[in-house]
Amino acid sequence: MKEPTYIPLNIFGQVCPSCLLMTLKTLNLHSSAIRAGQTEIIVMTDDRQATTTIPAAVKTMGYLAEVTREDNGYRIRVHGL
Amino acid sequence: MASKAKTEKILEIAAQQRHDAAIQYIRAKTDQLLKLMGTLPLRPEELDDDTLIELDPIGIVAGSFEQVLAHLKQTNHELNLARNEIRSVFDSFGAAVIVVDKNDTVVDCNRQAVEWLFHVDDKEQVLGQTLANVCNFHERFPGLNQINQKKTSEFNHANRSYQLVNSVICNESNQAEKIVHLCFDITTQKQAEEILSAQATTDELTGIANRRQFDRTCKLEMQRAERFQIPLALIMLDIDFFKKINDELGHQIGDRVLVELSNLISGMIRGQDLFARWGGEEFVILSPSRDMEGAKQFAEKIRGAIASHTFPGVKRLTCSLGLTEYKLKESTESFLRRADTALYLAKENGRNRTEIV
Repeated sequence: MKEPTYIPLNIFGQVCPSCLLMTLKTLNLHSSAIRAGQTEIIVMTDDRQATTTIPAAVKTMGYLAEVTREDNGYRIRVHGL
Repeated sequence: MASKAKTEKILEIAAQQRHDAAIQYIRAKTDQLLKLMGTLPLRPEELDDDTLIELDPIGIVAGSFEQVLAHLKQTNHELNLARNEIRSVFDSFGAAVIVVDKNDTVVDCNRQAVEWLFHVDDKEQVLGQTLANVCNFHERFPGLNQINQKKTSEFNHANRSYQLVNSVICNESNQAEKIVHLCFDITTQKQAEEILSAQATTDELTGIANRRQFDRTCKLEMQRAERFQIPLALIMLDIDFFKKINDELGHQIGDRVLVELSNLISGMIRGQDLFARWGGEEFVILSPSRDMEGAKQFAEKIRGAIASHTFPGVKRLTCSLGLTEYKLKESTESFLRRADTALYLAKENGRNRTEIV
């Protein structure tokens, strides 16, 4: 299987609900590619609340999300099945 | 002029008010949608009105909701497939399954339950009814407070035997809510058990009771005689010169004699008597509630019947009989030994006779 491409989304300094809105906007734009597993979104944020709201919201849309702790914030990987 | 300027001013204020109302409406609806997505409302100080319009949060969330709905539709479709799959497993399961609620109302059942137990065309005819309304074996089924999941029970219905296993379905707060009655058809197994049990207690050649069956019945009858103070007679019977028949006419004729003699005596005993093959050409008859006088007449009747019967391939056939009566408190061994002694005496005293000890 081909390695997926990554869409980096740097939203350092922003807080919810903007974090979520930015993520959703990107997700809406690339939905079919992400659902097919060709693309993934890598969200970089320092807003702790985004680590809960983003995974919860994308799961209701049928995507998967994993949060990992980075040195200066969080990395949220949003991808299809 | 002044009045025109005033009108313009009023119109401007009105336009501003409409604009403000529209922005307020957008913010309110945006917050409502954000709340649905599980996040915080927008803060006006972070997002001025122009940026708000440019960002188009309602458009973003609407796009996301489109995906939520598509996902929901897909999930429902998968759920339906899974439900159908579970249903076909349920219906092809090798047992009848009945699910009842705490009021004993049937909430679900599979095809086997409909066919084997309810005998209706469609399960809709039993759903929503209490078990008592739809079958006559409902008393066999435990209610919620009688359930013992480790215990199984058996019941018969429409000439079939079933083993019943129960389990409980709990609700989210772990309270027992429904019962699953699993009914396995064990008819074949039961029949095999019955055949085995019959084989274990029957003499293969003659079809009458064997020694094992005699031992079992003898013990029970001795206890009965003891408890109810009723007489119990025992006759031991041996065919005279049977070895000669076997040696001179062959085993086939010998076997036929044994079968014929068994049939003859079987037709003469009462329901409560037990006629068994003791081994070889020796037979026993256990006869409860017969006093010695009656037992002696009975033994003589048998002796006479055999002596006057024509056995195919054998010119003359007689037998000797030993008769005794059970003495209270004695052992099986001593009871049997006395009958054997009586039989020995009958042989000693010339055969074709009955002796009593």
